[in-house]
Formats: sequence, C-alpha cells, structure tokens
Amino acid sequence: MLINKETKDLQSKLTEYVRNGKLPLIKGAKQDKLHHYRRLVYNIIFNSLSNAYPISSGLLGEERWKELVDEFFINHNPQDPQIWSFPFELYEYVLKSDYSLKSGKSYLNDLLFFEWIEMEVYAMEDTKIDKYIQLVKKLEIKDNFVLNPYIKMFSFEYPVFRKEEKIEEMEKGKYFIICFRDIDTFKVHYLEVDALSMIFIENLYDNNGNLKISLDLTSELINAELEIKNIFPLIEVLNDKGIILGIRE
Amino acid sequence: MVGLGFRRDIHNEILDLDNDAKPDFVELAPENWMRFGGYWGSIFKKIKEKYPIICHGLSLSIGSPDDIDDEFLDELNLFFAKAEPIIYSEHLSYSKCDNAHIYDLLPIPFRQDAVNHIVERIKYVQDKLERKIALENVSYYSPIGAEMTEQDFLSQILEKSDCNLLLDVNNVYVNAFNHKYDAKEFLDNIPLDRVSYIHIAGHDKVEEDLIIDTHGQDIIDPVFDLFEWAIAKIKPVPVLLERDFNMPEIEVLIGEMNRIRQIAKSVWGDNYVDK
Repeated sequence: MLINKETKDLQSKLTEYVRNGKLPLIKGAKQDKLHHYRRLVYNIIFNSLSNAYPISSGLLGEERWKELVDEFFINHNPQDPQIWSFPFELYEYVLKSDYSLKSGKSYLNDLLFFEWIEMEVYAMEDTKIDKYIQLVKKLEIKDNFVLNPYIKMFSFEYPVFRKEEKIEEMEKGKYFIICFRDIDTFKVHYLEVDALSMIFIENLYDNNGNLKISLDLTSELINAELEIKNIFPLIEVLNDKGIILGIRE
Repeated sequence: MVGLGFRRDIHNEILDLDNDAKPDFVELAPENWMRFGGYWGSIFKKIKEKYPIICHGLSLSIGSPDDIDDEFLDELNLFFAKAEPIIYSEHLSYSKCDNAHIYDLLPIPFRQDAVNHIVERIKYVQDKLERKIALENVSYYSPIGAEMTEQDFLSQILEKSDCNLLLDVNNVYVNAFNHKYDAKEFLDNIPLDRVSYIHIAGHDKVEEDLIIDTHGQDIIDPVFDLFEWAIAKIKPVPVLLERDFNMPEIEVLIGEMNRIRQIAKSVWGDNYVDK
C-alpha cells in the first residue's frame, strides 16, 4: 500500500469523529467546520434506519431510538456498499447484542425483522417464471405447481404482523408467516398459516412445486396419510393469494 | 447532451417527458439500482428503453485506505452489462475507512502518498471494469492535513492514472468560496482536456463563510456564469443538472435544463444539442 501511516491516521480520525461525535484535533483541518461532516453523515445513517424501521423507531420513542442508532453506528462497521440494504445490519446487531432483552422490548427482534423483510421481498431480483395454466378444481397427484418465487417464510415469537393488536400486549408463542410479492402489482403481502401448512408449503418450495413429493414428505413428518382432499383448501388459498401461480405446463 | 439525475420521487414525471422537455440522458447511482427487482426493476427497464444512462457511483471509495472491494466491482460489472452506461463516474473522496462504509463523501488529504495510492487504485479499477472512469472534483468543507494544493492533487491524479474528469462546476464554485481561492484560476490550472462529463447544481450557504453542496436549490447565476466560462475551454461533453433534495415542480427542472442547453449551444454550437 502506497499510503503512509500518517495519512491513513488522518483519514481514520475523521471517520471516527463522524461515527462517534467526539472531535479530535486533526492536523491541517478547520476544526470549526468538521461538525458539518458529522451532521451530514449522521443524518444519512439516522434517516436510512428510521425509514427502514418506522414502527420499531416509533415504539422505542425518539430518545431510545437515537441511543440505539448511536450505539450501533459507533460499535458496528457497516459492510453493505448499498445504503438501501444496509439497515438489515441493524437487525443483525440487535439480535447479536441481545438489545431487545436488555431494553425490555422482547418483541423487538421480530418487529425489526418483520419491517426489514417487507423491503427485502419488495426488492427481490426478478427471475424467470415457468409457464403455467390456471388451477382447476380437479387436482391430480402428478401435478406440479409453478410457485411465486418472491417469497420468504419464517416464524415469529410475537405476532407483530397483526396490526389490530397492541404490540405490548401480544402473547408469546409460535407464529408462522409467509411474506410474498404479488407478481403483477409488486405489492408485498403477508399470510399467517399453521404449522402443518408451513411444513407443506416449505416442502412444495423445496421440491419445485411437486405435489406428490410434498404430500409424501409432509405425511411422513406428521406421521399421518395426507391426501389431496385434505390439503385442497390450503392450495386454494395459496392460489387465491398468488403464492401458487398455477399448474406447470 | 443535457441530462437529469433520475430520482425516485420524480420517476413518473421524468419517464413522461417528451420532445423538447426530454433530457438527452439520465444519470443514476448503480448502488441504488443493483440487485433490484419488482416495481423498481420494472422502472429501470423503462428508463433503459427511453434514455441513455450515465452511472454515477457512490461507494467505490477510491480514496479509501482500505482495500478495493473486488466483489463490489464484480457487482458493478454485472449492472453495467444491463445498464450499458455511456459513462461511469465516481467521486474523488473516500466513503469507507477502517472497514466501515459511512455512505457520504469525506475529503482525502491532499498529499503525495495519497496521490500515488489513488493512482494505483484507479488503474486497478479501470482494468477490472475494462473502462475509463471519470472522477469528480468533490466539494469539501475543511482540508485535512494538506501538503499540496487541491489543483495539484487533482491534476497529478488525472495525469498519472489516465482517468477522466467529471468536472463539477458547482463544486469548483463552492470550494473557491469556502477556501478563498479564485475559481477561474483553479480551472486554468487543471487538465481540462480530461473533462468527459460535467455536473452543475445548486447549493446552500449555511454560514457566512461556508457553502454546502446540497443539490437542494436552483442553480445561481454565478454558477451558470462559471459554467459558461469553463466550457469555452472544454470540448463538448454531456452536462448533468443535479437535483437531489427539495425537489421543485418538473417544469422548474426543465427550465434549468433549457438554460444549460442554451449556454452550451452558444459556446459549443448547434451540433452539441442535436439528440
């Protein structure tokens, strides 16, 4: 590297300052103008995170949210060259640092992930979708589904996706959620399902929409013989929502 | 060619522009469009169909003491294959240090070792991307440990690395004001034959002796005057109207683009504005 230590140290000092707000003496600088760099950088970071997590930041309140952003920006080295996807690193930081436990907001991990995943699914790269025909009432075991590729499946401890419930009063449990993007409107939707449905849907995705394999695997796992008729109402819902797009041509 | 920064909050307005109101190209930041599908992926396809694209990067951090991010260069190459930009430009600044992105442009110390370091990095990047890059003279609010003038720093980097210059006329104006030098003298002492692209924008005066390059106001007359003076010394190149914040009605932007066009036409002649 051709840069010498003194030059590198000057660059590090300015960077440390914009991250922690503690102004050091920097050789050859107009000390009284450096605060503009701190302000400009901090605003970018703060706004980016606040825009990505409007519900979490609102629930924590202005003061605690600012404290969290400050702590994060001092302790965490942002790795993503793309600022739109950098807020995911705050979620990872909160998870790793046990912030939600320490702050007494046990739902925070789920809430941050819930807010992030909407952005991630919304932005998912486009992919080619195989040709399909509309789902007909009479399904056959040999059918293969074409599935919506813009989807994430996960479980939560708190039902943070239920907008009608007060988050502080939510009951801890196990909640299974599918987050998906409509292939035509690009809008992101959520679907809450039960554990059995989640297993079946995961099997469908793991097996490229193959109905027989997915039924067999699900049956094996729950130790009961599942047939098309048992699962048909779920398939109708998935088709109606745009998760199952149709039957592969 | 006179272009406009493609900003998401006015994307429909820009895509609807036609005839005389239509910019000759749009500029976008690859970092804001790479790996994006869905709605914005569909908008990108529309941009690509309607306009030539210039890519103006944010995260290369050419002046960083950290290593160049090869993975990021690979991503850029993938994006360029889709966008087919006529120019790729970046900032002569650093936005990553001590393994942390900070998402804004910090000033590089004007020093000989920094020149040598950056020249090597530019050559590496140009090799990896298989294209010349144009580096922008950035605005700065304080020098950091400078051991040479800004014009020497910039000139040496351009000559030794054989890269192009994105001349930001507003930044020359801002820096001349902030650091009390003569903008025209500065321009006379940098290799203007390397200019391949020009930016022009508005700014905000935040203190008696400090202007911040906000891209949030209309362009002021002295910046238009400096632009006119400068382009007389430069071969015809694309010129971009930069506006990122405090967005006015699209008509105001069209008016500013028209004024840039008129000046360019008066200096460079009719051929320049042919689309």
